[in-house]
Amino acid sequence: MPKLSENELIDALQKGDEAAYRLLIHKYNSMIQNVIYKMVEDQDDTKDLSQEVWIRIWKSIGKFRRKSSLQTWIYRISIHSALNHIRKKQRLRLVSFSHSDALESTTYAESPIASGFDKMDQHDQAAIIRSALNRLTAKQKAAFILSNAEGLSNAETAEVLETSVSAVESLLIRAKRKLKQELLNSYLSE
Amino acid sequence: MATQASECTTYRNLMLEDIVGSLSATEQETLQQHLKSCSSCFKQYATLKVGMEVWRQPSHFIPDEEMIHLVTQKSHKIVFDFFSVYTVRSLASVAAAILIGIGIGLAIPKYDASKYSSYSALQDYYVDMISDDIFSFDLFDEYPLP
Repeated sequence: MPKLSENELIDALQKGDEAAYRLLIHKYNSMIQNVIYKMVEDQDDTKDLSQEVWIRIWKSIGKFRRKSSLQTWIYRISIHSALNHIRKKQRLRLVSFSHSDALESTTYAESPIASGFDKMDQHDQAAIIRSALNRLTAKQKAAFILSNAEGLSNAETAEVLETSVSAVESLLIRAKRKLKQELLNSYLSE
Repeated sequence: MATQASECTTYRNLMLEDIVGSLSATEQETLQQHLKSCSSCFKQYATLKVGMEVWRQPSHFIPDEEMIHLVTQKSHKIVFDFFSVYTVRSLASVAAAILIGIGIGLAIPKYDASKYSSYSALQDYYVDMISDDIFSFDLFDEYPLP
């Protein structure tokens, strides 16, 4: 398929062009899976959720009004799917509270935090960052990921999260403060 | 030595601020100056920085053909299902609307003008008479007004 501009690609998708859909998957799949993986931190869940996202894109591309860029719209669908997944998981965790409590203590004992600062490799260090990020609220985490890992501006992050720029700024300030505290507690106290 | 340790604690705060991305340019300069002179802090800072970079790095999820095929198939199936459900629902709605219309039409009694207007009653009376005795010339004598 020849290289298409964003508008041409959207036109083709809205006409139900399967080749355009394949092109879109090639172009944005990595971005979708990365952002979902950072949110849910599970390979299998990431795979399932990204498939869901693609199906939602296919189903709702006809309703896409081009008020935002295609990338922002795809980010929005991905983040919403991840947030819904996290909410569902939290609800499940609440139901089996006693069980998950025991599980969490086991995970903590086996986590790299307990293994000592000097012995850590790069992946352990990244795991500490992830563990600290998990202490944030889902929305704080989403704002932090979009801003720090995906490199989106506050305005773009606000568009993805369907909120105001000032709300994003406040989310980021609280996220960074909490993250710093968590890292301070778990990392440098070694 | 104690002063050096407390100084390092202060810089640890700055390190973390830098890692999470909330350090100003001036503070960053101050931190860099300290890192040049303190190997212990430099080591910790480097470890933190690498950790954050590893987390930030995108994992390269390359869509394989099997995945694309699966997603395309599922998407089409959903569109097809959606249409079939949509069609069935639409037809059911139209049928229900027609039945309701017929029901309402049968349930409402027909408007009978003669019940509400004496003039209409009179008209009907003469029409009936004329149709019954179409050849009668003494119609008005035979059938006086009621």
